[in-house]
Amino acid sequence: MQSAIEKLRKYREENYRSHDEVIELWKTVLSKHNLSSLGDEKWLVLEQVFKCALHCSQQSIAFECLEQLKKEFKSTSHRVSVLNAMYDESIGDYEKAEQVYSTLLKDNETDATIHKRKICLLKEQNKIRDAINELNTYLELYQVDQEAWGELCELYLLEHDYAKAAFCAEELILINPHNHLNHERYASICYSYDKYEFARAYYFSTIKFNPNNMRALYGILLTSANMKSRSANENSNKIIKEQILQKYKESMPDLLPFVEKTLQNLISS
Amino acid sequence: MGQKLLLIIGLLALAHAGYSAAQHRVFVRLTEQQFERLPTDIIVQTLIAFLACCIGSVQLFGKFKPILITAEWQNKTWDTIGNRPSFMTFNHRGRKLFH
Repeated sequence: MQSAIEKLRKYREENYRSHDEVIELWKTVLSKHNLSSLGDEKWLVLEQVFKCALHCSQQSIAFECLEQLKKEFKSTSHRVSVLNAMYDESIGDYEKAEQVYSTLLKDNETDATIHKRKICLLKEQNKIRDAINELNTYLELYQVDQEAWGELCELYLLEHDYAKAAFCAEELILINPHNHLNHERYASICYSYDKYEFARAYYFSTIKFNPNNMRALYGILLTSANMKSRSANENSNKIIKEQILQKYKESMPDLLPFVEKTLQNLISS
Repeated sequence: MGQKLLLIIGLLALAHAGYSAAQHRVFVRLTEQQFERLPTDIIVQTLIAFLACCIGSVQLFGKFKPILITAEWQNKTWDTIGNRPSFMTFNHRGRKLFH
């Protein structure tokens, strides 16, 4: 059981998304043991299993965990009320969840988690425009919230509003300039609405931070295939092509002949 | 365990060196010599004890992180970095996939 607890701790701290694995661990190991030997960690584990159960649509497991949490923390706890409302969201009872969130907000207007849950409610009911407006008002108050900017970027991409999504991606780069994935996201958004020079520049900066990023390597070749003035790019294209072929050679040598041919066509077209 | 031992030995050695230095001063005063400098072995013991304390305490209080600021994100996938747990919604295909 100890290894299961350690794994759960690792997933919690590093933000992994392996809900089915957590549910498997719960079913095989943890539900059979009494968890009070963990002390305070027991409640964190229960909350984590609850959320994973809702994701995997195992309502019975979720209900068990919720009962245990309610027994301990009574109904005055904000966190447990939020979990309760999440359970209602997952079974589709959006009005009840909305009521719970409104009452919790009346108690404390500045609670960031409740604002975010309300935005999720709108997203679940497919009201993307309203969700975007709410998220914009939230971001005027909490301007450095990385997750919120990421979420706004996704929502704008759902609406195919690439200019505004690019703005959100820029904000994310400002908050975390050394994360190669932020640069790659921005480059991909720029590529999607025809700003090929920008996209190419940011794909290069992605490679600067992480030379193993395949998408960025392909992105450079694709942008130069789409740009009008291509003469200046030929040398760098050759180097990038060599790097891509090298990586395929290391991991998947079977695909090498196909990749070579495709890249040749891409560069010379 | 080894680090704790190293730290304890380092601290004891440091305390012992300090005590020896004080004793040496008293000895010099009693025999009415000029106080030139501390004997070399006390100095060497102090330095070694200091080194042991440094290494022991640094190793004891947590793992080192890599110095390159980009090394933190080299091996993480979009799945973990792009996961936004405050914004989790439940009306995705998990409903049908996991039944």
